[in-house]
Amino acid sequence: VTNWFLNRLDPALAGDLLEERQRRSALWFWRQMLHGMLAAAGSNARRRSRDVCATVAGWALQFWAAVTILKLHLAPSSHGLLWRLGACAAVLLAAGVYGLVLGLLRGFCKYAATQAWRTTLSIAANAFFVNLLVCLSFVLLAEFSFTGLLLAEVYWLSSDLIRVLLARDPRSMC
Amino acid sequence: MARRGYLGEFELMVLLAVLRLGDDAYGVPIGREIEQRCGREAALGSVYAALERLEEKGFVTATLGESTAQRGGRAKRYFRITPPGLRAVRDTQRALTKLWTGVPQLQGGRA
Repeated sequence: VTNWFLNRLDPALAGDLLEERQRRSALWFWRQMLHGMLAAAGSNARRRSRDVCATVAGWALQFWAAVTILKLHLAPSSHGLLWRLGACAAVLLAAGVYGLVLGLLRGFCKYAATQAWRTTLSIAANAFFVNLLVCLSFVLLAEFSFTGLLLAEVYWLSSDLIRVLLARDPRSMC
Repeated sequence: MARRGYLGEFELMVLLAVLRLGDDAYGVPIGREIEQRCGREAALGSVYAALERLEEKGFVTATLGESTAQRGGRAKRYFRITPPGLRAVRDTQRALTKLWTGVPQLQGGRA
């Protein structure tokens, strides 16, 4: 656990924390670790503001699509084969749009800096497949409630933002 | 005052600590120096965030030092003040001194 946290920090800062750990308490160490992560996140939010905006924009679009699908799913209409096919098509479309938006906003703005088109493609593909799986689970689980959806979405947004804000190398964000 | 010369309170403390430490200025001693001289705890994360800002402004330069087992194989990052950094410290000192002088509430050493 300690290593996972230390690896999220600047290597020099992580080294300093380990050096000081010998003469300080465990409470001091973890307080400093938390502080270091918050400071790194603050500084990354400033430097990677485009990535943060892209993540939130992609998430908002995907959230809107997911809520729309859930509303369709909860409608008193039949849950027959045709409905399921339609829902799956909608899910594919939402996942495609999400992947495209994330790919365009996050991947291509990074492409300008890294000139790595493979990174851009992998970001878009990753967003597409993860979103596809989550949305399909909404459709397949008939009992999925709005609260469940909201919790999943909040978790997803937080994990995306944490990835953006705490990744040391911007090319490894996805 | 020109924007380039502006330093925040903590940035000024960090720059002064870097100046005092000379060749041994890396995260741990900088934090300790601020703690000992100013009597306030300086979180290492804040020290590094300030140093990063100062590096972006061109007030300090960083070089990588040795890595030891005690540090988990991670190298130290030594900081050195640049001529613009030194100028910024002097500008800030001058500005603060000008503001300081002639304030009746600050005369006589009583709160």
